[in-house]
Amino acid sequence: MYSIEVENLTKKFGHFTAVNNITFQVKKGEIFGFLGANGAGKTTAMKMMCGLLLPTSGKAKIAGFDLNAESKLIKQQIGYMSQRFSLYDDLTILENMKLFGVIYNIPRRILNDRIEEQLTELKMFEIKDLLVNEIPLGWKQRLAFATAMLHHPQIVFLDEPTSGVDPIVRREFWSLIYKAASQGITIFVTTHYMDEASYCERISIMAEGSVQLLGTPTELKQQMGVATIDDLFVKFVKR
Amino acid sequence: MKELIAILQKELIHIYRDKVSLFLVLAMPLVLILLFGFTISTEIRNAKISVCDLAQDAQSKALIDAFRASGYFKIVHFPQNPNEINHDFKEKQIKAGIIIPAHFGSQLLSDKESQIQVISDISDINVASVLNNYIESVVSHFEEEVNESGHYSDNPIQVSIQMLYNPELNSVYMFVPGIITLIMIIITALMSSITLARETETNTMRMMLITPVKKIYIVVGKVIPYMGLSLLSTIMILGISVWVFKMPIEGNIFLLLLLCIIFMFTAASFGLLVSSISNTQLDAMMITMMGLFLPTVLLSGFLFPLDNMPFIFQILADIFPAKWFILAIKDVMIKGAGIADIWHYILILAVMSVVLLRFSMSQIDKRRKQ
Amino acid sequence: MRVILMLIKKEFLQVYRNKLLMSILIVAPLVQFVIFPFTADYEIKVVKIGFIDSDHSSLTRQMVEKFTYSPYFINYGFIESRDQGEALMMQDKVDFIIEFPSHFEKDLMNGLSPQLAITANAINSVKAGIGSGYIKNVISSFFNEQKEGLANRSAQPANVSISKVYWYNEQLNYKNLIVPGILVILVTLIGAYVTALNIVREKEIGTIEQMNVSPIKKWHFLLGKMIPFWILGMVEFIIGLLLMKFIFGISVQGSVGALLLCTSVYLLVMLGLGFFISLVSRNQLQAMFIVFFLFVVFVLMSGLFTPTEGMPQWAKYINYANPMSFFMEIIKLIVMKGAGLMDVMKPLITLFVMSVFINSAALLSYSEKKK
Repeated sequence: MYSIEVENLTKKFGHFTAVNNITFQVKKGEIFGFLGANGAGKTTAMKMMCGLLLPTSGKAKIAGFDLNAESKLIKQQIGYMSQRFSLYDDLTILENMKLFGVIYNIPRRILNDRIEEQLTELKMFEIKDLLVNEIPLGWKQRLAFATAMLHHPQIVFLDEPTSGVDPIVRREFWSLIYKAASQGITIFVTTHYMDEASYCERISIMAEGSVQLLGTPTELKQQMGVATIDDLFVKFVKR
Repeated sequence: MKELIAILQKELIHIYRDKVSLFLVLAMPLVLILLFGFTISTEIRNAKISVCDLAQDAQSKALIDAFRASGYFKIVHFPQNPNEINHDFKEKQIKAGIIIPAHFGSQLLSDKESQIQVISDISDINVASVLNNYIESVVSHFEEEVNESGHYSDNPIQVSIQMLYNPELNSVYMFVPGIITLIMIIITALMSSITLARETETNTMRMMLITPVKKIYIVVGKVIPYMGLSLLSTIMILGISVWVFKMPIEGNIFLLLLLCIIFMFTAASFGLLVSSISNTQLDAMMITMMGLFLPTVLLSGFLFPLDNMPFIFQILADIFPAKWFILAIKDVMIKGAGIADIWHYILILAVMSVVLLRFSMSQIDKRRKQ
Repeated sequence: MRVILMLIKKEFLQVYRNKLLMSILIVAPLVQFVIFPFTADYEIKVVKIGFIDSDHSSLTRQMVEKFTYSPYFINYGFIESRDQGEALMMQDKVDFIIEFPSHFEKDLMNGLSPQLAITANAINSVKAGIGSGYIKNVISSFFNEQKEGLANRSAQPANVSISKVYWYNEQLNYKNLIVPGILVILVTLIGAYVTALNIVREKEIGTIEQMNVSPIKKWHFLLGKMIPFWILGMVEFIIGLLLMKFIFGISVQGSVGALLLCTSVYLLVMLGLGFFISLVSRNQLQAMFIVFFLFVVFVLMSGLFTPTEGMPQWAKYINYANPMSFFMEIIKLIVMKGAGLMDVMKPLITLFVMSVFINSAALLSYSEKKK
């Protein structure tokens, strides 16, 4: 059972091909790492899958729905956390969660319970009335993740969710990801931290718009004859 | 010097990439001057009026002919009853109603004194005041004709009027200096303050401030391209006013350009000051609009005469650079003044720029230490 | 419905927390109301006049005195020479110079027609025209007085006096036009400016992406943006009406209900325009430029500051696309002429059609998916 099936997906901006004919599948409940150098086309591919960008050609099935024909139905099934932190800075933690909860049509009673649950888990219940711009970046990122999870999506897309924070905060964030995956939620995550890549069940490496390598971290390391993902990446990029 | 060129290059690329803004920046002066030149003329032709002629004699007919012949008026209705004029205001959209009383002609001939009544729609006072002037001039012309036909001697004094500086009474003369000022403020002050604020908003300013590049280069490099743009616009405006509106440039063109460049420095210094105290682009825009653009429109004397204003506003007007620039530019352009006539304006503008510049530099310094 | 209410609440919270925007929303109308009406007055009330008297006769002195007594003139006094006169005009010390030739009185007595030369500073063409009219009037009335003693009644020239009745604005007060005009400007700024910048900002900081990835309906998003600013605009307008009444004593002559209805429709046009601009522009600078550009054209062509009667036909055609000119027309009709709803039907319907058009254009060009 795949929750993401991408087939020959291509995106061209004028003469420039940002994503060139990519094909892959992601299993349900899998943590899938989407790696690549800056400008390799990771974000463009992800935006197409989320319905933010119109593909030039190709097909995809997200959560069992066709990307081209049923994009409205897909939206209820996915969560998205963009590269730029994009909750409202001038709203409080609680206000942000309520806003997005309502937008995803979560019934009032259920929403209140879920928010309380999430806030307790994030240890943010006491500070729920602080404005978002008053809390540190690491907290903001965890809050954004929790908000993206409020409507219990089948798939969560995370675009470099931990850029700019220290390793401890990153580890905390990954524990949230593991927890979500253990509940059967598919995690699709882009990153350029290679240590994070080894947390993933499977990874793919993108360059110049194409998926060049795909497999479990161990498989890939063996295949390329290197000891760490870091080496793998360096070797691959040099190639 | 190399750093300066690098920053300049970066800024030019920014401007060049944003084609929409670039287009608007260059179209704005064009549209402004065409609007002021063509659509906003104080001349009104064929204004609709109603005339209620209760006299119906030769003199009243002559007066009506005089109204018609003037070309300013189009008589749309001749009501029998003065009360009908009320309806004409609403139904026929007339701008004025004229009532010629019974015995108009006979009184005029016997008593030398007669009266007509004019009812005007003052809801648009701009139109009404112009029309009132027209009515007065038609009536006084009519008086003259009556007097001549009555074999009275001419008015014994001949009056010759020489319209100095603007013999064709073209209203665009008034507006050109104002438009140049507005464009300079929009492009130099507003745009440079916003782009500088953008750097603050996105934190790239801090990044540049910690590099060893001299801060003066950073700032100058950002501002110079906009100064260039505004100079280009100014030349466009001058070109249009000369070729389309036949406006002369009496004074020295280089003096005129020098004046523009000095004012550009003043505007740029203001933009710098604004950007140094604002955190976001919106802040910068709002402060420039409220603090410079609006006062310039209201208090520079180009739209609204300063003489009529309460004393406190006249003093306020002195503080803003626009008034001095407009005075100077008018003198050079229309009156042909030389540097000896306008040096004090240049001095005022220069002092203003230096003060603003010092102030904003100290603000940037403060920021850098934070 | 719940979604829209939530979005409205969110927008109000954001406006409330934005100190700068709040202070502008509150302070700007007050400041504009207090300053604008005092400055925006272009009636030519006085002209500065100077004399070159080469005659030095009692007649010329009497004539100068006559000018001094007239309320329309500020007498600069006597000027030595033409050169000095020109210098004074250059410095804007005088607007008009009247030059009496030598032997002026003597020639007049001998039945010759001496010539008076008037020089006008014509840069301000209106001032020059009106000023020369004033001068001619003073000269001819002076001359009539002179003759009265000498000639008999029949020699007196005919005179038609004009009695003027002013409608809709009895005190001939610029404030009565300018103050409602400021209201129009404020409503326009809130409608178009604030909306456009608000949405572009969401684009710039990326929050709009978070919306686009959610299942929210397009028109929910549109309404959630428009209703708060519509309410703000209406509140601003009502506050403006109250200020207008209590500070300037200008009350609405016609139907207040019709005025509010028209304003709400006009706001819809401006909100739609702001929305449309925000969708087509890439950053705040661009959005600001487009709005500003349109705003200047709208204001100049609306007839608020300058008469539009003399516009050439092509400009009148362009003006049919200017919502502000229709709204100005409505304001004049209702506030000053006491019109009711039926009297403003035509411009109101025009505005309504515009609002439908621009909002559909905005809705159509808004797509969650970028090309």
